[in-house]
Amino acid sequence: MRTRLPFHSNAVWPSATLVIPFVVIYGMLLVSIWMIAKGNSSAFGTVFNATEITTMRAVILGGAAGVYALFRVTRFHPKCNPAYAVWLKLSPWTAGKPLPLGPIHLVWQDLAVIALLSLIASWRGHVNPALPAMAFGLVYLAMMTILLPFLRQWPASVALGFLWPALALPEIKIETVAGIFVAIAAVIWFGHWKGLRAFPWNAGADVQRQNGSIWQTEIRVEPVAAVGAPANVGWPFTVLGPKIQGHSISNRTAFWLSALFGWWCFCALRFFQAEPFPEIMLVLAIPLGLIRFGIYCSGVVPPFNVWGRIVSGRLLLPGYDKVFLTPLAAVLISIAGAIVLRRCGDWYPAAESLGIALIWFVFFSGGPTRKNWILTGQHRYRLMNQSRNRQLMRQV
Amino acid sequence: MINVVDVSHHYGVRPVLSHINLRVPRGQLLAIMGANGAGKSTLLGVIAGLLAPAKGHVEINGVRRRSSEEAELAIRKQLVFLADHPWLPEFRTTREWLLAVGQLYDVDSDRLMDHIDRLLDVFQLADKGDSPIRNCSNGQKKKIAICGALVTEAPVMVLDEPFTGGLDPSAILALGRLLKHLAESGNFTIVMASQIPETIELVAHQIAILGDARIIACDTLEGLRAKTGCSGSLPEIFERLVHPQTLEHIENYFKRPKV
Repeated sequence: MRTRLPFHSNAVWPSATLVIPFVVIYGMLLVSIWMIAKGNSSAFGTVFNATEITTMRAVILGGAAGVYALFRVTRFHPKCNPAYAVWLKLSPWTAGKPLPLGPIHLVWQDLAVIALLSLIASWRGHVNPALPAMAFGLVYLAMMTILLPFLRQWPASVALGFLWPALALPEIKIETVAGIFVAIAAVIWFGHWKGLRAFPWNAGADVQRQNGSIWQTEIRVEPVAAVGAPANVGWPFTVLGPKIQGHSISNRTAFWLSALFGWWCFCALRFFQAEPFPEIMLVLAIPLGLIRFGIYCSGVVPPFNVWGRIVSGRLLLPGYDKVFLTPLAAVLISIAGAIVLRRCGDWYPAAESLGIALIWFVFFSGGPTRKNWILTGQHRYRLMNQSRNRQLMRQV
Repeated sequence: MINVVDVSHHYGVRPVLSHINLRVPRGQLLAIMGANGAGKSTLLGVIAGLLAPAKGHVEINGVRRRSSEEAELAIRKQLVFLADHPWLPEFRTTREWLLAVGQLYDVDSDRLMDHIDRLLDVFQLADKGDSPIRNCSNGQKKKIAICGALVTEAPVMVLDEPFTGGLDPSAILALGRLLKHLAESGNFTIVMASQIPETIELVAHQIAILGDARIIACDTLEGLRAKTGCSGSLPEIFERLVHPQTLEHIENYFKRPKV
């Protein structure tokens, strides 16, 4: 006989592990208030509405709503449950069907839970009944946003990267805030819809190609079954093998990431109403230049030392010195930017953000690419400290 | 084919390689000998792509090293380098590591596993195949490293001191025969640095002798004999070419001190 499965969204009711702690904590608070009031109902009302108690109630109710939102995302999204994802992959489930353990989108049970929390909040007043709904909504949207990059939904992730910080802009109207939240919800819905359609996700490179990934895996290595990665295959295969680990960033990616960082900078400057500090570009460019140089030159050294350069009369080695070009360009841009920023008056936040975006763009897209540097740079590979490697290399 | 074109290199002020020109056709095994510090490992490093020379360039099968990303990747697929002191992952088993190396070079899985079994038999490592590398002796680790180079099936092999590092005599002999067979199959080009004349005499088609950052001679054993006028063994030829005053120095050493 065919057993009829219950409607799948019934599963979203909060589990006992969530309900019991909430009942115990909130109950303990009420009992404590009752004991303080010594059973006197009028005294109970006075204690109950004390500022400290109201704050505690708000924290408990808001926290409960937040934890429920966390539960809704982490319990039902296959990305948060590897075993569930594996099981789904083996099942006949497809993206068009409801998720077997329960939906990740909001359903009427969520409304019921939040309504109950709001009811508790509004009992005897003083705690905003909208608080549980706001806490639930914020945590739910934030968690769904965080999941999107893991689903490799780059366009949606970038869009949310622009939308969330916009909420921090001062003098923003309530209608605009509402509009931004609607846009955030729409982008999240679209991103997760696409993310589920791309299931199964385990074929990382394939998924990336299907989705037109932002990170170009130009020199990605297939999993080396036994040892894990070329970095663990030992010297000199680590550096001379035909497969190299590393990522290169396309110009499109560089543009969007730089624009994103510039936008975050703009929102932060407007939010904090910061005093003009043009040198911030230089403060950013120098460490970034050092980090980039460190990444590029980790494991390689110049073909010969400074004395060799002087004696051979080859002070410049184009094949090696090209690695300095991008950091140098970024530092020069930051110096020029600082000079310009001193003269831009009210346009300071926009100009500063533009400058920072430009510096990031230079770092992301400036040549040579890491692949080009590894394969064609005129450098000398140096044996790194292999003992730091998790495979614990030993010299023969 | 390996073509070394006018390669010069120096790490600091002292030249390590000076105007080196070499040509190793496919199916040939070239052994490089030289005094200590003569630049053998540097030359092999330049050929293997470990370092870019200060001047000159190297071509592997007609493709210039480091000329473009595609060219370099194509060369890397065809070339394997056995370092003088390779580093191995201690906590992996021999078989796991060899599988990983083979996969790095895209060797077909079935062929790879079969090849590993055969290599382990050749080097008497069959009982060590499934134990962690850390449990092996130094000589066995060297054998494993050699297996790592061979398992790649790369048609160009650059081997730095493959016969040293604690190999037992039977392993030296086995490796020598293996390399000779590979070279004579016509599919492999092998360059190795070695200081063991008996093995070089056995396996090498050509011998290059390095001294003072230059190639003093590069020929077959018979050619070197003719060039030096020495009909003796390879060490004698080497001595005549690199250290002609060795006998004189020894005589001086045993002379009664003046004071």
